[in-house]
Amino acid sequence: MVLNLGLPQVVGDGSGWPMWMVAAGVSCCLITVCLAVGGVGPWIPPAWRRDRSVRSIGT
Amino acid sequence: MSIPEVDDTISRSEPLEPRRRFFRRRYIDEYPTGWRRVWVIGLIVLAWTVENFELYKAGPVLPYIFEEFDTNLTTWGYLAAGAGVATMIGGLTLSRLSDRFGRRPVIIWPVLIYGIVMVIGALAPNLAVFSLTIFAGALLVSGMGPTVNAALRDVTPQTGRATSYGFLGTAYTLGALISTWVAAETIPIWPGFRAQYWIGAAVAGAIFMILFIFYRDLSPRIRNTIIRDREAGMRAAAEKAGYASAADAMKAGDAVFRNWRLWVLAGYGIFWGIAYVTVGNYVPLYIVSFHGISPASASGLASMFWLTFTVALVFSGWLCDRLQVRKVIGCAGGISTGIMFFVIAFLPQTQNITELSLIWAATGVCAGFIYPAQVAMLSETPKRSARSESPGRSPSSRLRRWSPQWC
Repeated sequence: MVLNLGLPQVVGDGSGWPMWMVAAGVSCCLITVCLAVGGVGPWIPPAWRRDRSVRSIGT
Repeated sequence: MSIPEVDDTISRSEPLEPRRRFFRRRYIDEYPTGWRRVWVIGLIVLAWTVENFELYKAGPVLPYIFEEFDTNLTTWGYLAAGAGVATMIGGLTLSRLSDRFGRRPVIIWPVLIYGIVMVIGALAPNLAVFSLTIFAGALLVSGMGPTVNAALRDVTPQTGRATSYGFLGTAYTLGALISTWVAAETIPIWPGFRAQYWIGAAVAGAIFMILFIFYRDLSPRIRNTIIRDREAGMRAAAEKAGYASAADAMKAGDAVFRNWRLWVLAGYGIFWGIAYVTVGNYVPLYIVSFHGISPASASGLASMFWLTFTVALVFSGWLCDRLQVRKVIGCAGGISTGIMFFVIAFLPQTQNITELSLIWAATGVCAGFIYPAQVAMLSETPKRSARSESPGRSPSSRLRRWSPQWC
């Protein structure tokens, strides 16, 4: 609904295509926010974290 | 629970050779395993790929549709929004039919009806008739969606189901890839939108025949066995988790809807919809109207996106499981796709077609890293949230217990 009703208004006679591509880019940034805030889980691979812990014990 | 007798219409008195027996059988009367399961899953994925091919067929030929019916983007936007409403209605109604009458009728007959709808679209004398074909198509395809998922679930055990859904996921992109690729190859030969609809009708007819001949539902006996096993499994899991009954466990499971993280994670769908459907429905039109490239070349350009996107989907899913991380991969995909869209926004109108191809191909690679990570996180977040709230577990034990899974 947002896309199909919003895109023609933004694009207009064709000169608004860059503006819509900016909107799509902003949507992708908001996707990142959703994944970063909503997702639960490690940011770095557990195996890398274990390796780092072992190395720190060694030193 | 009573188990109904299987009516597989095979005459028990006369022995039939295996090939004849297959064609006369109404149901699969044993749980499919090995290559038989692969074959059934392949048919389901084929049906879904073709329906997505049909769904995205209008995108590459929008300039022709506008010209033929003397319409514009604003009117098309209203029609596409109406198709969205039809999508909702189709999902709610056809999924009930599949539960009542079985998966087979709701998988094979929409393909045939879609073929007929395509013929009407190809012959449409005005925009009103053409609009009806758009609404009918959206209703049929979206109605098939839940049924296809349910059919896939019927024939796959829990282990390996994720991989099967992975293949089903690629059906979306393969459908879009085929629609743009077919348009790029055939528009120079048959310009206009009507030829694409005739091609769509022919493909739907051919796939209907394949599904009609080969696709079978599980027999009621096997489906009842699966349901009984699942209920027993739920009871055992509930007892193991310390609940008095499966109903209590289910009630506790409802708490997942009060998990704010899940709502934030699911909210991604709005923004993903904007970016994904922009590419699926409007990018060929954007390339034609903004860069002044022919519809055939624009379709070829768009197919570059779908090609790299499909490959990246598979690769990023594998990477997610291999490294056991989702967040960083999904976020990297989101940010990089956003940057690519910003780059596209500032491209000059006279941009070279080869460079445009490379830019859209790179955008496809970036976008392919979002979806698998998001789906995996959505399925794992309730479990992980609950685990992090339970006391007495060290981070290392949490890591050991962390078992990555798809879907």
